[in-house]
Amino acid sequence: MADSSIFIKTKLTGRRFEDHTVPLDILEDFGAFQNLVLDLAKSIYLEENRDKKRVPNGFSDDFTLKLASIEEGSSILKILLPLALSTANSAHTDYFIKARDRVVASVSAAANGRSIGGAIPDSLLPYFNKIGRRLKEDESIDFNPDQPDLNAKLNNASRARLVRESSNVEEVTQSIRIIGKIPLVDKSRNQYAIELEDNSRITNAWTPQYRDIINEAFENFDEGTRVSITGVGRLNRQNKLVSFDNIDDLSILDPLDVDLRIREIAQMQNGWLGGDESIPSTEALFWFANHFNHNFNRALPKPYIFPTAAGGIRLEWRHNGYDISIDVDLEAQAAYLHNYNIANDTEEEHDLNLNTKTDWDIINTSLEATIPTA
Amino acid sequence: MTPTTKLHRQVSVSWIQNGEPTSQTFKPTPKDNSKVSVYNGDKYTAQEAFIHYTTVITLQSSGCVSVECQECSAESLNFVEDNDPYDGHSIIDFTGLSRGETERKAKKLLNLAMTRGWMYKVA
Repeated sequence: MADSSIFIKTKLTGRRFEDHTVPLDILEDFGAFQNLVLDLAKSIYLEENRDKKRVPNGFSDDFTLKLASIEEGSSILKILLPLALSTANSAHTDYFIKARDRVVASVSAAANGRSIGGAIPDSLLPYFNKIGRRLKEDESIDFNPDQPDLNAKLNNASRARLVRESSNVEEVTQSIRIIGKIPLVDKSRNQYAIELEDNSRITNAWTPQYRDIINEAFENFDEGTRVSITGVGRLNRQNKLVSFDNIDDLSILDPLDVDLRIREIAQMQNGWLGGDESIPSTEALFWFANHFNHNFNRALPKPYIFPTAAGGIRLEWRHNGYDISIDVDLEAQAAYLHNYNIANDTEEEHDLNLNTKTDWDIINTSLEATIPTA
Repeated sequence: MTPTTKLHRQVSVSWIQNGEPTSQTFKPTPKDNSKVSVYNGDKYTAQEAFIHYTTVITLQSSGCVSVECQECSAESLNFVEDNDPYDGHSIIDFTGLSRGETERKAKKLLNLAMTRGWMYKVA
């Protein structure tokens, strides 16, 4: 590298990093990266010095990686090696550099669907259960952004490949959000059960800060109350959640949660009205959910959402004598808004392009004029 | 049929969210040819209409909501018992209405029906 003090440059991509900041939970992962490099450097030393049984005293002295800066361009992190080790005279620097290069090459291999070929010992692969475990689905850490053709990107998929190359590891940790119910609370064992959407159950240790929410969800289980849980989960080889390592948030789900309703519609079957009605594609539904979440005034009540026989969806609000509907043509990414005052038989109609902010503003304005905001 | 005869409309299970029916309930779908199918309340109670719909026609329903013939007339909506494809089959006719008129009348009928309450509902 041109500047000998820069040990590695990484680039974070994903919506969370677009404001050129880095959430603290991601920075925690670089601590695990440091530990991996250190342990791998020791392993490489012993590989190359088979007459030695252990690394020399002081091998890891002063080995501390430091974050120097966060640059623009999504978020680019420059991580430095202390001067004591970065000088050409350091006897051990080469091992840390070799370790770094093997990590980068292994990430690239995993990202490109190749085996890492033993570049990282089995016993060290579980480090990838810590590095990047809080990455969301759309996020990655590029460990060599200056050579984009290598595709040395760590994301949930490449992390899982790296962890599972180890014969000792069955489960991969990953940032996850689930929707479920709480059918059981066992205070004698300080645990509670979470029923997942496929009706399977996992058990979680009691989390005192969410006591009231857990109890409320349990007491209203028969009414179908659902919770949203985000945190770091453990997935088995079938990518099924088996437990949570950490829970970052547990909240009662709004019965009109839009993301949940979109997922429900996506799971409906074609012919749902008894004819040849089709359900919109998952891609189209998630496109809409994304635009809705970005453009809809969150102070307004959430809509009821239904499939339409024309293959789209329809949003509805009924409040204070107004019956408001928005028929969404997902293929055309267009909509028809009908705001009807039943009492005085007056209406407002708009044809809308859902790709334009101005037309989402029309939706918000029409609703704000008829429904109180929170 | 008399002015107070009920016209029973089935509500698809996919058209219920948190117990609330969609305002599409009385709106013709593209395949309806502007005619909404209902059951003649002089020949079927709401429960009988539900049973016929789910066991003879073999379609899914969450239950029945109903409007009266006079309520359709008040909206200038024609209705007729055509007995096709089964005895007691009737239609509420939206033929010739604009998009906005169709929405208004469908919403109004649902409002009337929900003010009356579910005539039959699956538990």
